[in-house]
Amino acid sequence: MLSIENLHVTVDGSPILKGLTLKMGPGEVHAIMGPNGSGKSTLSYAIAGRAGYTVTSGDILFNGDSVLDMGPDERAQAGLFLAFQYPVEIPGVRSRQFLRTSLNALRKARGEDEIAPGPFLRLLREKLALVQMDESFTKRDVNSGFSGGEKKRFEVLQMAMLEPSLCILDETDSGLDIDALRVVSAGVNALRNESRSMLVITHYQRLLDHIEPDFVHVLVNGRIARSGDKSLALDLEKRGYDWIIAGAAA
Amino acid sequence: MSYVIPTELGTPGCGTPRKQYVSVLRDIGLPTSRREDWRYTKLRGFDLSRFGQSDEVGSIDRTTLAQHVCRETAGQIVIVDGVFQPQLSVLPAQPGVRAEHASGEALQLPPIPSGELQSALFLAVNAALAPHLTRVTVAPKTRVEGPLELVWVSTSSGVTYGMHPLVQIQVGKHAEVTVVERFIGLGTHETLTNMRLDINVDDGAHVQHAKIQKEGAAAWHFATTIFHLGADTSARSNIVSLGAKTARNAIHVHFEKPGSEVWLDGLFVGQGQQSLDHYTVIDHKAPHCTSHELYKGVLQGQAIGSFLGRILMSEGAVKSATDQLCRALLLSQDAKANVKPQLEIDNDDVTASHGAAIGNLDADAMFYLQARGISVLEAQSLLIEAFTREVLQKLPCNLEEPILETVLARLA
Ligand SMILES: Nc1ncnc2c1ncn2[C@@H]1O[C@H](COP(=O)(O)OP(=O)(O)OP(=O)(O)O)[C@@H](O)[C@H]1O
Ligand SMILES: [Mg+2]
Repeated sequence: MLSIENLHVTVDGSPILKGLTLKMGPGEVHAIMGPNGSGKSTLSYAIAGRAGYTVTSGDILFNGDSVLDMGPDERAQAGLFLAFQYPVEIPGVRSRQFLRTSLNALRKARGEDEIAPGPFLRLLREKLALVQMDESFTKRDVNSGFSGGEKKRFEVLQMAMLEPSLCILDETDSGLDIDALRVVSAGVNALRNESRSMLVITHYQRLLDHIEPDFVHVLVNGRIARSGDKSLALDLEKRGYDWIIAGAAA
Repeated sequence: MSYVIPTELGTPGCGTPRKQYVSVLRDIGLPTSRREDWRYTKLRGFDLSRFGQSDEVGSIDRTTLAQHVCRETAGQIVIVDGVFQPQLSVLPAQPGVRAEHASGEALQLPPIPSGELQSALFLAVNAALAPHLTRVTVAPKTRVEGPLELVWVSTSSGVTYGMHPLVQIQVGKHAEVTVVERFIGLGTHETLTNMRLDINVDDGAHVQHAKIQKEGAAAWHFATTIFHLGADTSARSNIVSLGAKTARNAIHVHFEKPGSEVWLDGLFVGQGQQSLDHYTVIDHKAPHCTSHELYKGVLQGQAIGSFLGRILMSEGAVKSATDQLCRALLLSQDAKANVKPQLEIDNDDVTASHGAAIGNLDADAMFYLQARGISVLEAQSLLIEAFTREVLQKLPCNLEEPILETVLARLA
């Protein structure tokens, strides 16, 4: 599904990812943890294809093909989805129009017709219910004035609408209250299936109570310093990162 | 076919007043980019003497015309290649609404507003060369049903001509009217429009004015709109500048009596070598008046867009308020926007605010949209639409959607 090989990424000339290797199979859920500034969001942007995140060596293969020459839109059309750590407010663009434009862009890339207004509304309502969001949000401008938690729900709503094959969730749990965490996790879990893979970036074990990972990786200073199963997250919760950082430096 | 500016008298029968304008023109000369208020307007290659009166009128059929104008109006005046076309026009039928041309002795030239030397130059040319005065009168208490539409078409006939429309709209007490001006350029040859529009709004009346300027790619377009406002009036003006090689719109608002409110909105969308200029002067002479200005520009290629907004708050303007905002979006490296607010306030019992912002498309928003599978072009369209809506949504007569489509098509 996703194969990242010895990835080096610079941002504004500074090396941030320094030889990161990660392999994900279909249907797998991988968690990425790691201290602030270790490069987690950089990894997610590099996969999504953000300008300014320069891959200096290594490769990102998605379903066997390199995505490095693809624009962010083409990667999304190929089935990649990034739930942003900081969703962007876009005043003047209605959420509903945004969702329809996005869905139709993906359909067009697959050679399908645009979705008709009726089926679109039904799909929208179904997915709104999944993340327990009120329909009134779709009449507001994209993320504009949404609370932190509402923005995260809206990310999961988009994910549910677009049905990607690889979901990257960058701290989708940050800023959520306990109820919202439950709702968002349930929304994510509902999307889990044997072919859809998920890369879940988080600082907290509590999310992993809800979304159980198959693998846990610790990112330190631009590299995967340790990988394990879900018990690694529990260890981190107890012991912090120091022992891994010390091990990585050694 | 060239037109020599008359040195003695204007069109025969117009009487001596024209002499005065011709001499203004001779004494001051045409503006050049060296003058401060014309600094941004691209005037290179402009030569007034090249633009004579049209001696040949191209043809346009009703079907073509219908694609460019409002479907239902209260009256439609159509001018093709500078010549009034009675057979294409629809005179207002509603009682209390009248449209007429005055020429010869009946032509009373409006005075040139004092203190506005820059517009005065083109106004003088207009006064000297206008063939007639088009006067629309709305009787007191008349609520005009549907817009009054003034349509100027330049056909693809290739005829180089200059026209100097002189239009006066007289809105009686407590009357209400919407006026839509259209400039449609179907050709790509050089033409000149030099227009003067006076909108005189009597006490308690309400006016909405929209202007859609889509002149041809080689057109020169100069226009001055002057609002004279009585007591307790409202006036909304929305100018959309899309066409012409060089276009300059000047608006003068005179608050003559208390209690009026004005909205001046504008959108300019330029590409290639276009130069689109907006020059507004709001003269708060009377107390308790409010003015609002919102201008937005989208520029690509090497286009230049300018907004100069002068606000005068004299001693008499007590309890008046004004706010002004101009934002420009630059889509290319070589596009340029000039924004200059100019507040001259001689009264401490007023509120005034102004803001200006020139920027590029928001890179974060672009990435966010692309990360959802939306192509660069479509993402740009969405953001441009978002940017321009604020102005376009205030257009009357369901103009918002078709104009938005034109804007997006031009930038694509
Ligand atoms: N434009 C830039 N120039 C130089 N360094 C940058 C730039 N942008 C980001 N960085 C650095 O890259 C590093 C990795 O940032 P990143 O956002 O990937 O961290 P993160 O692991 O997601 O952190 P957090 O847990 O706080 O979200 C940080 O040290 C950050 O300061
Ligand atoms: Mg991060």
